[in-house]
Amino acid sequence: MVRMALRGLLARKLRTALTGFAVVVGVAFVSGTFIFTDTINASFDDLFERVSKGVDVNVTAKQAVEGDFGGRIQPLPDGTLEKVEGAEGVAAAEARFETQVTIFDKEDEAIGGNGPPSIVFSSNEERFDPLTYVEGGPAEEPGQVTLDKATADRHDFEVGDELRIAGRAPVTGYEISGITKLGDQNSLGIVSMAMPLAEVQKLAQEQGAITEVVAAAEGGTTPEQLKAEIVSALAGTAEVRTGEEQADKAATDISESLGFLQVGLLVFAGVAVLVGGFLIFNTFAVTVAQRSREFALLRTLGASRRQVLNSVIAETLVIGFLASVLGILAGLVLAPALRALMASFGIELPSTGTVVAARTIIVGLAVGMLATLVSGLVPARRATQVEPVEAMRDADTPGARRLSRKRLVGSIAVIGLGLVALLVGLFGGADGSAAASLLGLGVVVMMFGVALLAPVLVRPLARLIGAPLQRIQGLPGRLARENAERQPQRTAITASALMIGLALVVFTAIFAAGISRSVDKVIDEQFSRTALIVTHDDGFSPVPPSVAEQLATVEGVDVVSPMRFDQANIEGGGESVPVSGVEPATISQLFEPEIVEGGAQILASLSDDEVLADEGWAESHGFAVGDSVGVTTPKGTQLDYELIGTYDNQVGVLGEIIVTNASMTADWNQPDDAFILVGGRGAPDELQQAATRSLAEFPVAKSQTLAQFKDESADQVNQLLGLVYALLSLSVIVALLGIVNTLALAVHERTRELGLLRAVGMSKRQVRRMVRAESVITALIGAVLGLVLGIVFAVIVSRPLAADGFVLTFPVGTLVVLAILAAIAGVLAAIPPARRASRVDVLRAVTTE
Amino acid sequence: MTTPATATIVATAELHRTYGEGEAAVHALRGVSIGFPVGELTAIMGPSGSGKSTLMHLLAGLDRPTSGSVVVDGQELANLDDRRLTALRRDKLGFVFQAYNLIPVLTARENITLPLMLAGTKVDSEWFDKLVDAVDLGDRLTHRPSELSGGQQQRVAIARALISRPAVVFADEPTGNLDSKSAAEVLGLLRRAVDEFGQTVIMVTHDATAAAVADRVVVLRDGGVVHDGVAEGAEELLDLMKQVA
Repeated sequence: MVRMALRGLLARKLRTALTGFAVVVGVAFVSGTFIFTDTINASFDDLFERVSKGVDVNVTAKQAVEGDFGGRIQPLPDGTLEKVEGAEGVAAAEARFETQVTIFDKEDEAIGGNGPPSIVFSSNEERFDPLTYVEGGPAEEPGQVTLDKATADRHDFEVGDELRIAGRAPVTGYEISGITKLGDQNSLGIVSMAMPLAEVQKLAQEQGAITEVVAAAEGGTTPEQLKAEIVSALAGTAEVRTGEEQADKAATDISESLGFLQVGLLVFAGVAVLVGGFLIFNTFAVTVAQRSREFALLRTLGASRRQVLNSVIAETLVIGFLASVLGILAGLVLAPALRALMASFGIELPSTGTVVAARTIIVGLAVGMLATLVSGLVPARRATQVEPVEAMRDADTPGARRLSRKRLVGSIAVIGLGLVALLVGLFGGADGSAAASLLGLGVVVMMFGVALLAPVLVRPLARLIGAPLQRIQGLPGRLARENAERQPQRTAITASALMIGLALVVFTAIFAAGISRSVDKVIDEQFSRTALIVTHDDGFSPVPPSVAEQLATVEGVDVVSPMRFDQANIEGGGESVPVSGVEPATISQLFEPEIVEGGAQILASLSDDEVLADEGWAESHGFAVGDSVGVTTPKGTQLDYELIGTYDNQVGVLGEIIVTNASMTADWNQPDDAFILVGGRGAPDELQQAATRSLAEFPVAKSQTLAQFKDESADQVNQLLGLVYALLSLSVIVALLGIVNTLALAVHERTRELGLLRAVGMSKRQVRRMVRAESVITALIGAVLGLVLGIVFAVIVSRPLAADGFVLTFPVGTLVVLAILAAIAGVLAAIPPARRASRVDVLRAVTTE
Repeated sequence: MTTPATATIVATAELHRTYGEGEAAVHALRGVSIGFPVGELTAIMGPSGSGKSTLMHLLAGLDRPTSGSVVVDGQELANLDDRRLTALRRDKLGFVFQAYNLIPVLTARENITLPLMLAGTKVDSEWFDKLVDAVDLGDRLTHRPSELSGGQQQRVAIARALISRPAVVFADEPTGNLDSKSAAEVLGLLRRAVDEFGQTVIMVTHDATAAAVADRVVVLRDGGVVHDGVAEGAEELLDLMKQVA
C-alpha cells in the first residue's frame, strides 16, 4: 500500500509540489529563524570571548537598577583602580571607559541615524588589546582614533584621514591611526572606535570617570583566586567577575534581548505554517474526493479501511518529510535574508559563519511533518469511508456535501471559545507572557472558528462579490460565482488561508494608524504651547545639558524646559520603573498633562523630595497621595519621596513617576535631557531654523516643530509596519499558492464541463475570464473575512489601551487598497489554472469512456 | 447552395485520421468522402472502432483530420483558427451527447440558452417557447440538472442544440444512457426537429432502433464507408450490423 502511495505521489507531481511548497515555506521560516538567531548568538559569544583577551578579572559598577533601556552605565567609585592594583596577585590592571558618540562621514553627514550606535572605547594596553590592526596601529596619542574596518570600508576612511566625532563635547576632528578587526569580524554590529582613556573622558565630559577595571593575574594565580583577592580589596563597592564570567554574562544578556526577536520571528513562522496547513488540508481533501473511485476499487479488491488510511497517511508523511528537508535547506537561504531585512530596518547584527544546531533540524522536521500529518488526517479518514460500491458508479464530480446545523453551532462555539481566551488574556490580569500566550491562542482559535464557519458564509459572500462581476462579464462571471459556491468547504478553506494573513495585516495597520493618531492627539492637546521639540538625532539617546543652555540663547525663544528619562526600583512598585524628570519652574508653560489629583499647578510646585505618579500605576500598586514612595536609583541611592499628586499618562509620554530634574542629576546621576521643549514667538518653522543654526556645535541635537515631530513618529510606526508586512508576506504568498492549487484541482475535476462549454461555443478567452473571476471571488471572500476579523481583533485588543490614550482609527484608504490588492492577487493566482482550463481538450469532454 | 432540398450542408473529401505513429499507428478513418444534405436525419452506424465517433468529431470541428477536408456550411474547417472554429460551433452547430453534458450549476433554462449567452445574443423568446413546448419541459425550467431524470436532461440538451437554429445538429449516441421509453421520446424529438423545423441532424449510434428513425443510414467499418442508403426497418439494420461486425 505504501508503495502505491509513493507511486501516486509521483503521478501527481505538480499537486505534490504545490502541497509540499506550503510546508517548505513554513519550515524554512522556522529553521531560518533558528539559524539566524543562533548565528547571532554565536557571533556575540565569540565577540565577548575575544574582548576578554588577557582579562582574568573584571570590575564594573554595581547596577542598582537592571534596566533594558535608558539606563546609563554607572561609573566606578573613585580609587577603584588603585585598590585593584594593590590587590595581591595582580600583574597588571587597566581602567576603561566608553561613551556613545555621533560620527560624520566625509560629506559631514551623521552616520547611523536609527542604525547601530557608535561607541568610543578607551584604548587598551597591548596585553589586554583584543583588536587586530589591519592598517596602522593603536591610538596612543591625544587626537588619534582607530576605526573598525566595516565602517571604514563603508564610508571610505583610511589611515591618516580625519574623523569628526561629537560626544557631549562639540564636534572635534581626530586623525585615524589604525583600522581594526576583532578576530575575523569586520563589524561588531556597532561602529566601534578607540582612543586614549583621557580623550574618551573628554569626549564625554566626564573627567576621571571609569566604568570598568580589568586585571591580569600573576603567574601561579588562578582567575578565581585573583577574583577573591579583588573582592576583598574592594569590599563590596563594585561588581567583580572573572573574565570568563563576564563574557558569559554579556552573552547571556544579549541572547535574552534577542529572545524577543526569536519569539517574534517564530510567531510569523507559525502563521506561515498555519496557512500552509490549510492549503495541505484542502489539497488532500480534494485529492481524496477525486480518488474515491480508486479507494473504492482498492476496497473492492479487499483492502481494509486501515490499509486505505495508511496509504493516505504514508503519502502525507512522505510529503511532510521531503518538504521539511527542503524547508531546512531553504532556511539556510532565508537566515541571511532575515538578517538583510533587519539591517534594512536599521537593526544591524553581527554574523560569523552559519550555525545550524541539531535543534534547528529536529524542530524543522517535527514542525513540517506534524503540520502535514495533522492537516492530512481528516481527509485521510474521509478516504476510509468510501464504500466499495462507489467503484461501480459513474465518476461524477464530487457534489457539495450539505452543511449541517451542527457545523454552524460548532463553529460559533469555537469562535466564542477563542473570544473568551482573548478577553481573559486582555482583562484577566495575567502577567506579560501568559497574557500574550492567551491572546495568541484566542486569535488562532477564533481564526479556526471563522474558517469552520466560512463555508456557510461562502454563498452569501460569493453572491455579493459575484454580482458586479456577473454584470460586467455576463455568463463567465455567472459561472464563476456558481463554481465558487459549488464546494463551499473548499472555497472557504482556500479563502480562510488568505484571511489569516490579511487579518493580521489589517490588525497591524489599524494599530499603527491608531498609534500615530494617538501621538498626534497627545501632542495637539498637551503640547499645544510648545513650539519645538529637541531630541537626539537617533530619537532615544539623551543630549547633554549644554544643548538646553544653547537653546535658551536663540533669538525668539522664550522658555526652554528639558525633560529627562531614567529608571528606578520602587518599593512595592516594581523594578526598572520608568521615571521622568521635569523642570518645575518652566514645564507648566509648555506641557499640560492631564492632572488627576493635586490641581493644575502641581507640576510647577514639585519640589526635589516629592514625586507625582501615574494614576493607573499608583492605584494598581496601592499608592495614594500623601504616601511615601521608596525609590532606589540606578546609582544605588535610596530615598523616600512624598507622593503629592497623580496624572493620566498618555501614550507613554511620561514615566510612571515624575521627579524634578535636580533630583535626576543628584540622585540618578542623570544630567542629560531626553527631550527639550522650547517655547517661543513667531512661526515655528523659522524658530526651528534659528535653533538648528544655533545648534551647529551640537550636530547630535535635532530640533523639530510639532508637525515634524508628528511626521517622524508616524514614519517610525510605518517603518515597523513595513517590517511586519514583509514578514507576513510569506504567509500571504502561501495562501495565494493555495488559490492556484485549489483552482488547478477544480479545473482538473471539471475537465468534461469545460470541454462541453468549449464545444458549445465558449471561447478560450471566456474560459480564462471565468477561472479568473472565480479566483477573484475566492480572494475577495478571504479579504472580506480578513478585514472583518482584523478589525474585530483591533477593536478588542485596543480596548484596554484606550485608558492610555490609544485612539482607535480606521485607515480606510489602506483597507481599501488591501482589498484591491487581494483582488489583483486573485487575478495573478488564476493565471496558471486559467491557462490550463482554456487548453482543455474538447474531445475529452464529449467522448464517453 | 441552390435549392434547400438538395443543398449539401456538410461534406468531406478523402478524410483520413491516424492516431499515433509508425508501428503503433491506428487508422481511424481511411479516406471518407461523404456529403450530408440539408433537412435530413442521417444515422452513422458501425461497430466499436469503426471510426464513427472520429468521423463525427471531425465533422463538428472538435478534432482535426490528418488529411482531407471538411466543409461545413461552405467553410473549410482546416482554414479556421480556434477562435473562428469556436464561433462556428457556437453559431452553426448543435450538440447532443450520450452523457447529456449539462452544466450542473445552471438551471434547465440557462442550460438551453447557454450558446446564446456565450455569444451575447438575445434569446428569441418565441422560438424558445416553441422549443420548450416541443421538449415538454415547461415546468422544469428552473430546475438544475441534478434534479432532472436522464430523459429530461437529454431533452434539455436537445433544446440547447436547437436554440441557435444551427445549420447542423450532431448527436453522439443520444440514447446510449436512456431507458427505452426515454430513448423513444428523444428520437421522436430529433425526428420532429427535421420534419417540423427543417433541421439537419447527424446522429452517431450503434442502436438499430435509433437508426430506424433516420432518413439515411451510413455504415462504417474499419475507417471506411461500407453502406450508404435509405434507412430500412430495424430488422434490416440489425442484419446489416451483423454483416459488418
